[in-house]
Amino acid sequence: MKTNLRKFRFEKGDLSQQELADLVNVSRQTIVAIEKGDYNLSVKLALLLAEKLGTTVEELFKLEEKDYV
Amino acid sequence: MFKWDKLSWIAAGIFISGVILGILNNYFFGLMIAAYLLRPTLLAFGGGKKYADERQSAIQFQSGNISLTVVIVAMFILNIVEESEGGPGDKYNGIIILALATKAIVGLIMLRDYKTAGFRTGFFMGLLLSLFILFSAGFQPFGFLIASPGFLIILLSWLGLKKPMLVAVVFVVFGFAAGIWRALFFANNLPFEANALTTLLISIPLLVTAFFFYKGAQAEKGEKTELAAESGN
Repeated sequence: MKTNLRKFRFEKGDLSQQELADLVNVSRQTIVAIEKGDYNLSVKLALLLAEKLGTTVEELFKLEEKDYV
Repeated sequence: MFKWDKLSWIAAGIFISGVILGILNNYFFGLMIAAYLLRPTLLAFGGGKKYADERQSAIQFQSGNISLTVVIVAMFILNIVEESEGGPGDKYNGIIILALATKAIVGLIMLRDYKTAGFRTGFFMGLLLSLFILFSAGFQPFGFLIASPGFLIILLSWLGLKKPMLVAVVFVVFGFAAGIWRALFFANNLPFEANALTTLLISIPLLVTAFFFYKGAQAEKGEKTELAAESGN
C-alpha cells in the first residue's frame, strides 16, 4: 500500500509526526510505521487521519500491484 | 515504545510499590508482573480504550501468541525434567490445558458463537475425562464403564446443539453435583493442587458449558424474534 501521509503532513502546515500522532491519539511510532508502509492501519484510523489532514482516505492511501496478490 | 500516559504512571506506581515491598518480603515479583500486564490486560478486557494505540494492540496480540507457545514448550520441558527425576511427568499438563482452553474459549466468545463454544467445551472436557479414566483404568470393559460419565458429557454436548436450554440446565446440575460430591468425599483426602485441578477441569468446564448453551439458546430466541419481525414488515 502506497501512502501519501508524509506529503499531506507537510502540506498541513509542516505537522510533525508527534503532532499528528497526538491529533489522532496514537503513538509517534505508529505514524512512522504507517509512513514507511510497515503497518496496515484500521479503517477508523485511516478516516481520522484523512479528516485531520483535510483530505480523503483514497488520497492518503493507494493500493499497489503487490496488494492484489 | 508505548506513549507515556496515565496508565504508564499507574503501572510505574505499582512497579515502585513492588520494589519497596521487595525490601520487606519476596512477593514483589508479582507486583512487578502486575505493572507490566496492566495495559495489555485492560485492553484485552475492553478497558482503557482512550489509551489504546491500535498498532501496539496488534503487537500485543502477536507477542501474546508467541509467549503462549513459549510457556507451553517450557511446561513440556518441565514435565520431562520432572519425569527424569522420578516424578509423574504430567504435573504441568493442567496448566497447558488451561492456557489452550482459555485461548479457544475466548476466541469462540469473541465470535459470539455460543452454541459452538458450548459444544466444543463440553466435547473436549468429556473427551479428556474419558481418556484420563481409560488411561488410568485400562482400555477394557470396566475402564469403559467408569469412563461413561465422560461419554455422557460428549453425548449431551452434541445434543446441546439441538436443545441448548435443556442441556444448559442438565450441565448446571452436573457441575454443582460434581463440586458437592468432590467436596463431600474427596476434598479432605486430596492435596490442594489435586482439588484445584479437579474443580478446574470438571466443575468449572461443566458450568461454563452450561452458560454457553444458555447464551446460545437466548441468541437463537433473539434470531427467531428478529426473523419474525422482518417477515412481518
